[in-house]
Amino acid sequence: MKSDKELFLWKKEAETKEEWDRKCTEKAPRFLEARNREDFETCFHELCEHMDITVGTGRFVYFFDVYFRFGTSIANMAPDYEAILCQGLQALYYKKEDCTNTFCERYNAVLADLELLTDRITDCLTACGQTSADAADRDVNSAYTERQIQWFRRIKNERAQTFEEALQRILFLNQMIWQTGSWLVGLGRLDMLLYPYYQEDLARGRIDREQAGCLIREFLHTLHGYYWYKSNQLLGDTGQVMILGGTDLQGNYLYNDLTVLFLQCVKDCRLSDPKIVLRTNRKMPRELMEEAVRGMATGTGSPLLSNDDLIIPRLIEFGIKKEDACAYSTSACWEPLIGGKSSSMNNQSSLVYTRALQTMLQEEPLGNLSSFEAVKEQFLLCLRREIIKCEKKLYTQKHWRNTLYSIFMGGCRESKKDITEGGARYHHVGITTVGLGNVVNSLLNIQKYVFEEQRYSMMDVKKICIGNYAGYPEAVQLLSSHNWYGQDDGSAAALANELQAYVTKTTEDFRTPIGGKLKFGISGPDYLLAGNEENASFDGRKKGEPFIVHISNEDLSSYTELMNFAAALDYGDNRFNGNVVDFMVSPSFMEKHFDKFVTLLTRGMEGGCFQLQTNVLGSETLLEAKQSPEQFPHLIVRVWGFSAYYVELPESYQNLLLERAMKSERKRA
Amino acid sequence: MNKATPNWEEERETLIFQRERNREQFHCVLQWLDLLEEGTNLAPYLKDHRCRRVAIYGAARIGEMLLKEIRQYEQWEVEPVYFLDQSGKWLREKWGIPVYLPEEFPDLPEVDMVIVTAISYFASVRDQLFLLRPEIPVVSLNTMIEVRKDEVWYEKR
Amino acid sequence: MSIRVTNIQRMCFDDGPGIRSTVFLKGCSIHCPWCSNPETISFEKQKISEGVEYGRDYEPGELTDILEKDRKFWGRDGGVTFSGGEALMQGRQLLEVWKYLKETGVGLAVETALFVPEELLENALPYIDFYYVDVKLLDQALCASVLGGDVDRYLKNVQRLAAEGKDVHFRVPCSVEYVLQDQNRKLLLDFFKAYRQYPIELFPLHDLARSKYQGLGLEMPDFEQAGEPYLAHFREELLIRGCQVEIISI
Repeated sequence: MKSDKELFLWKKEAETKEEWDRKCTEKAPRFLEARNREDFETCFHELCEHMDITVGTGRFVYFFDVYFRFGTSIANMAPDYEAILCQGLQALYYKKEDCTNTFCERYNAVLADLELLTDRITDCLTACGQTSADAADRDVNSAYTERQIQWFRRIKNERAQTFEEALQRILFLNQMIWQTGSWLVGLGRLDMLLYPYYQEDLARGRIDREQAGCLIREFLHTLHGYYWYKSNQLLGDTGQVMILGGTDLQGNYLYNDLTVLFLQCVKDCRLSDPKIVLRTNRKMPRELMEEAVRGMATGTGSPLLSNDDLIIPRLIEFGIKKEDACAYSTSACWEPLIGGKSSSMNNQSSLVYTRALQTMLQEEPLGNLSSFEAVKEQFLLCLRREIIKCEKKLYTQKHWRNTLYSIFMGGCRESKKDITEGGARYHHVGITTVGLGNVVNSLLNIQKYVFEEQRYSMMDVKKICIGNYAGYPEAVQLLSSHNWYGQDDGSAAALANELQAYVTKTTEDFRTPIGGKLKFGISGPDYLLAGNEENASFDGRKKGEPFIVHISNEDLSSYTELMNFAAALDYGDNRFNGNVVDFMVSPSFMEKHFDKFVTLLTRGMEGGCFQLQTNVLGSETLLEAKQSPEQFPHLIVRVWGFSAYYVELPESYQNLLLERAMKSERKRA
Repeated sequence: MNKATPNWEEERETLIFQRERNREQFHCVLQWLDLLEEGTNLAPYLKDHRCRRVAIYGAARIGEMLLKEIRQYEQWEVEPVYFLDQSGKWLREKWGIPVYLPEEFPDLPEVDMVIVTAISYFASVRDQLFLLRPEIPVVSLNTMIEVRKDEVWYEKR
Repeated sequence: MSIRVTNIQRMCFDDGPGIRSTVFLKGCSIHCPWCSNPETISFEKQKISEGVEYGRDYEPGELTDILEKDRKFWGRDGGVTFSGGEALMQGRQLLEVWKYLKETGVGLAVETALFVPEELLENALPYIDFYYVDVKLLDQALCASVLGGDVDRYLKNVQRLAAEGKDVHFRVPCSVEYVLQDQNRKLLLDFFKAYRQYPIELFPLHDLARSKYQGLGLEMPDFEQAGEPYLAHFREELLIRGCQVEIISI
């Protein structure tokens, strides 16, 4: 029996993919050929007709047939779950007179196949109910089975009747989106989505709060299943994020009992995913922040806090309608997204700021770098090249059409266009960035040590960065001793804003072939991988070392300074694609100062942090886990925007987290 | 290639490398032609970097093409000062400018940039020249062409 | 008038209610052998090594500019704490800062050993609402010889604080050799009984400051750690007398 980690690695191998394709061909001979033609509808038909249906003993039906491998699909968003909750599938069809183009025909065909699949599931459940050999099992299962049969019958022509049924429908749609080649499939605003069903069940005495909690916990465990299959770059990077809380059109804080219940259940389950993004605003009640901090204190890295007071206005300025902006959710990690209505793929490329610094040092005649202003000017010209490369990549990207996602994406039905052709109500695109912190530090070091103190020349800077500090051993300590990025004396924030404003200026006119605008943010997932490939920077960072993680600085002795710095950054125009303050907190600190920590986060968010996440872990525990991983199988840590089991991470990530934790504890002591 | 010969594997590696090198050069020249078809050239790159005097690494056909292109556009005000090439051992001048060995680089006249036309060897050439004379930037012709192509795409998008 | 400071610590959770910024002043009126901030005892600037010096002078405006950065985190319950060293000793220099902060609604606290002349306490009273008061040696002779402090002055200062109705928390550094030694302990018990309306925090000593002593060319004396049973017993004795007691670690 392979572990999740082994399965995850196995999934990525070429032989595995060939083996899966062979097995798929045995079941569905037409599938592979349709895939080669990029014929989504035929592939989907083959899937629905032939995929293996696995019915477990759990409350919910949730399964994958891994052998059906679709082509690269549009990803990193959330479908419109509401569409499958409030009505049956049959209500979604185009009427004959409205079926005016190929898209409509395909749409109806896929819906018909989906119904076919629900029939197969019903048949399978019926068969299971009759043939279960063990009578005791049958008694247990028959209660579930009978309900499940009803659910899959009703899904064709009725709305979800109960809270439990609503959870099942979400799982079903979620499963099918994953199955058809998409990944990082989000969960949307579960508290708002499910509240009417929860309320109705309570009113009718079908369930009480405690029972709802049980259902939610089982729902979470179900979603956590197949996590090796769903993981993207690293094990745990599944993108299964739910958004809780929010702001209404009048600016009041919006939450309900399910918000609290989901927070509590995620905390109790202590799984690495699904995870939570909790929306905040100035009017958020303290009790909710306390609940959030209790969740963070478990070390699962969830929830991430997202500041509506900053984000909603930015979305509106960008062209999002107010009611949609108020209903925002996020992509897999943190990037604001209009869930269920937006096909914005928010992490389509990564802008590596340090690459521009490298290019400048490699290609610029030193005579052109005779002042700090000249250095900045040339740096920006090199940055422009990197930006253009990103834009080109975005412009030329191609995805399979995905009729299934189009059915469950607001706007596609009305526009009669596939999601990949701009059918969704919004179809912008986003990039992430890394290395901004290292560039800010490098430039400020150049200003100080080259032009003010004349301790080094630009020649020395070039030799240090290209030669990886060879011949300059003292420079590592000296240049890393400042770590300006994160300090709130103004200079670092001002420079960061200047650089970002330049990126805005270079990207504000960009449109994708389907008319989407570009947005970007400071946070990026590839601080380690991109760092591995880059030369040294002029801030003490040696070749191959990781970049600064999001908005963080373990050399500061107070989080207030970091939060002030984050508040001084300008998130306007198109700079709102995720800007996360990230800090390490030791569990004992959190425990000892719980109330003050809640106050700190509340005031920090009110003061202007865009988003915030914490990693609550102690270096001692991490060290022990490295030495004896078998004793810490469930130790969870936060990695870029998701949580993972520490012992399953590659060593480079383990080491980076350990280093950050140790640095932070030294400063806190 | 005869598998019976003792170093057939080495020969095979050499052939593969040569094939890759030819492919890269062909691709590079095609991209260069694309630029010319767009009505532009490499001048803006050199202007952005305020280059007036350049050295060209590689005095073969592509080096010749670059030299001619630079000379053709007088308004560029860029002067190709010398070649760096292994043929400097026996050939001390080509198309009116000196040819030197790369090892002579430290003692040669000042230039703003060295443009490497031997694109398949760029990384090792860059590292070698950096050790000899770190203050002079070394850029691949390929990079210049890509940058210009990206710029053209950007202007048109 | 410039203010001599050793450190400005932002985001302090242990120096008073709420979230605070703490200013550590240089210079002390006594010299406790267990002091964990030996760099604050002397008022003079002390250079340790290249680029490392204890003591920096700030103009009042400079200091308030730095403190202002965290105003949004203090709220009504937090604020600024002045510690050290003996914060009250630079009371005159700090007047402008205290006045500005008080007038702009910031809660002020001070950590003090109270071995200061009357006028220095009077200086602070209109501005400082919250006092962490050290309680160490109450035996006159012992206090004079070990700490260099005047117990009579100390007791009068405590009385003054009580008369002003200030918010006071007592802190006791639990040195086995001196503070918790029998005779002094009896004096402490009587003292705390008389002032049982104020909460008490007992804290064990630590030697984390050893490297600081070395840097200053001094030697940190070894002392016996007051173990948990010891502290628990002392706490019991205080509870019997109607005091509110907590054992903390700083």
